Amino acid sequence: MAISPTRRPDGDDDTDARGDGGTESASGQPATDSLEESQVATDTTERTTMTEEPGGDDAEGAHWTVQYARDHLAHVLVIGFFALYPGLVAVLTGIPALDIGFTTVDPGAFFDAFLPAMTFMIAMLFLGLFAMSFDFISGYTGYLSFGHAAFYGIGAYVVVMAANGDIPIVPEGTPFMLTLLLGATVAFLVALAIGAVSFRLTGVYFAMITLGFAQVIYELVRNWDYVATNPQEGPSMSGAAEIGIPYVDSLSFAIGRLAGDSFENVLGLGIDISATLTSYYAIGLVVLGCYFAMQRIIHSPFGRVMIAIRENEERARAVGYNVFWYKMAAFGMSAFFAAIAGAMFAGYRGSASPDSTFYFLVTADALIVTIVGGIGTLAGPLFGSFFFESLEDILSSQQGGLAPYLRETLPEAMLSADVAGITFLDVINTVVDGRAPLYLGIVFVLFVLFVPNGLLGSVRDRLGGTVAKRLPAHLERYRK
Amino acid sequence: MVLWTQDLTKEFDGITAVDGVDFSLEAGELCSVIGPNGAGKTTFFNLLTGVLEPTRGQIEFMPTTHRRACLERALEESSELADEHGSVDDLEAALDGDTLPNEAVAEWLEQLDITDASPHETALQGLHRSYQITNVFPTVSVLENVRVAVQAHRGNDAWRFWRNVNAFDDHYTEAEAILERVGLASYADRLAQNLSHGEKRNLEIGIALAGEPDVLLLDEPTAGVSSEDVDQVTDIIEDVAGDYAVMLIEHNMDVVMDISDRIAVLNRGELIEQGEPAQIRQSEAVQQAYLGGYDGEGALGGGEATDGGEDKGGADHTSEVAG
Repeated sequence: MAISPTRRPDGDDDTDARGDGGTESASGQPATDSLEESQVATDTTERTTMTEEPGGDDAEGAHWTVQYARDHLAHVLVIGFFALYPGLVAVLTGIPALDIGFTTVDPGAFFDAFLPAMTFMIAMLFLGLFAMSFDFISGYTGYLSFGHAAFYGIGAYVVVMAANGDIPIVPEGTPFMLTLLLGATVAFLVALAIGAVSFRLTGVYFAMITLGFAQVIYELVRNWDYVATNPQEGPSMSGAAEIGIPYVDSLSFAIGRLAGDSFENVLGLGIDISATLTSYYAIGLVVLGCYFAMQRIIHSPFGRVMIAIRENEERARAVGYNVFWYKMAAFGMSAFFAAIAGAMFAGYRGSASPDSTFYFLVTADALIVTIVGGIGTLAGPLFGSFFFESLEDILSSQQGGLAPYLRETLPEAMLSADVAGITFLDVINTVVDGRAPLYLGIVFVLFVLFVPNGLLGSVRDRLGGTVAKRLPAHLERYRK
Repeated sequence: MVLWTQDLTKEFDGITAVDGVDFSLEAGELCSVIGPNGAGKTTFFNLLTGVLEPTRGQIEFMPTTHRRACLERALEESSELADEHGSVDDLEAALDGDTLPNEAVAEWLEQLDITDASPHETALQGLHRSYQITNVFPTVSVLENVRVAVQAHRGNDAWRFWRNVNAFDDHYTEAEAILERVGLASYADRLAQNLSHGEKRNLEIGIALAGEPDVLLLDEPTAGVSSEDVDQVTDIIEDVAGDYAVMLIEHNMDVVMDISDRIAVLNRGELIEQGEPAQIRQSEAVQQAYLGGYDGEGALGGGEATDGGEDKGGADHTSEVAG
């Protein structure tokens, strides 16, 4: 099941007829019935909104915007959550410790331990975008691209090498946004070359051959001393990567933990935006843009052909699609977005290394978060990635985390309690601190066994449709 | 005529599945292809649609749109024809009404050679098929199953990846009309995998219809359908046969005898007989193929095999291949 692109056991299982199967566009009806229902339900509220409009003739427009806002309610909520998250963390972790006599209660430390820190949230963005691009080809077209790390790496290396002036025709000092697009285009072309060979195969063989290509590129980059003086460590980027509009300084923001822009007392509101926060928002915007671009493609006639190929390639061919070129195009687009993720990763880190980009375990991370989030759902991998990074944050002691929290809050007597020569502190240090990969493996196994549709896929099954379509109707029910 | 095959042969490692078949299909005709299991019927379809490449022989095709293009050229190049028949429509009517012999335009009517065409090419040219084993898009809605097939025939629509699919109203309208025709309109929003077997068989035909076919190849549309539902499938076939040339593989002899204009009988890859239903019913060669088999003295001696011919044929076939 883990590597099967089919999301449901085939045959006539007795799934609920309304069930969308967790598939983004399974229901093809042009108008969504749920929306129509909710429209009736909210007729009264709408009318009030309309009368509040200054000019009555604007009613049509108001209606349209209300409808639009309702269609995108789920998006607004998710984007809102991620946009407000840094503030939320700042407030919650800032709650002062309270002395209640016999002990102190420190909710701030608790939140610090359990809410992912900003560095993890930024990692979530790269990984989320990379996993979305992986899902784009694997979840929608049904071809598992196990060599996806190659495209991530290409994006990363192109921006770093371009910044260092190592790419022949690209002048040194070309804006990061342009080299990012260059990297994405290179990845697109490489994907076409790899695809031309690989799409002769299907299933496991396709996965294996793409993995093979990626490993060849990995070894090549690791040993090619043109890319870096120490190719095994990879090149470092000179200068900072700036996200924004190229050549417009006021609309470009440097990213990076140290090199990033920071702003003090923004708009006189007394809010400071650190370099990390600038990076978070700048990268987040790019990820958001890429998400909407991919979603657009998925919901287009082209996207429907991708789904048709996943569902039944033989039949797709028989109804008149030259499936080879559709697969090639989907693969190329997927590589394009993977490279954007890689470029931002390198831009934020200020360097790229073969092991953090081209290596096959990078693809494995994308696979894991895609399964956890829901394969065949575009936003799912982002939630999977959030889950992944949260777990990593909790189990590492880098920024907050469970181990330091336990070490500090548990009474000394309990920590040093000794059973057969092993203290409780030893246990914490051994099984909690920095053990994220172990637990992730376990979580992954549990997900494959018990939540095969992933987080978002299961929510969709529950709601009986995509969240964006069903959520407004559900909320209306509670409003009455 | 819309479809020809000449000496069409397919060999698989020593087994000749289709053996030198010369066959032609008239426009608007409903021709059934029958024969014992393993006679090569489905292989024949696979050759026609380009799924398999023939070992030998040729397949030619004359789709309506191509024919019109040919006639248009005839009108352009021959002033004689142009004087007599002002438009392509006139010319077509004259040909179909037998007021003008086919020979008059023969030099412009060039058939398409589809011998080496791939499945999507034959489909785009108007040769569509349904499958013996249900072959739909399982986890998308019934409507989407048909819509995506409609979309394949709308030029470059499928490559418009920046427009929302809902903007293409005509795809939906046509898909809904097809669902209406195959009796699935009320199931449009259901997932294809949740349909009953009989409904899936109808969807099979619906997907094949979506491509505006010139020739429709139906591979056992009633396979596994309960006897009550067979009539409904038959109605659909008869309905679509009014619009397209249909080739039908079928084991249900009642259906075959009832609705066919012509029947072609394959046995061990060879076309052993073709003709009107009554003629086939009388044919000794056909009875021999169905009831006797080749090493089948014993089977004949057994005597009771009559309507159960298909099962018998199946049993015979296995022994044939083994031998």
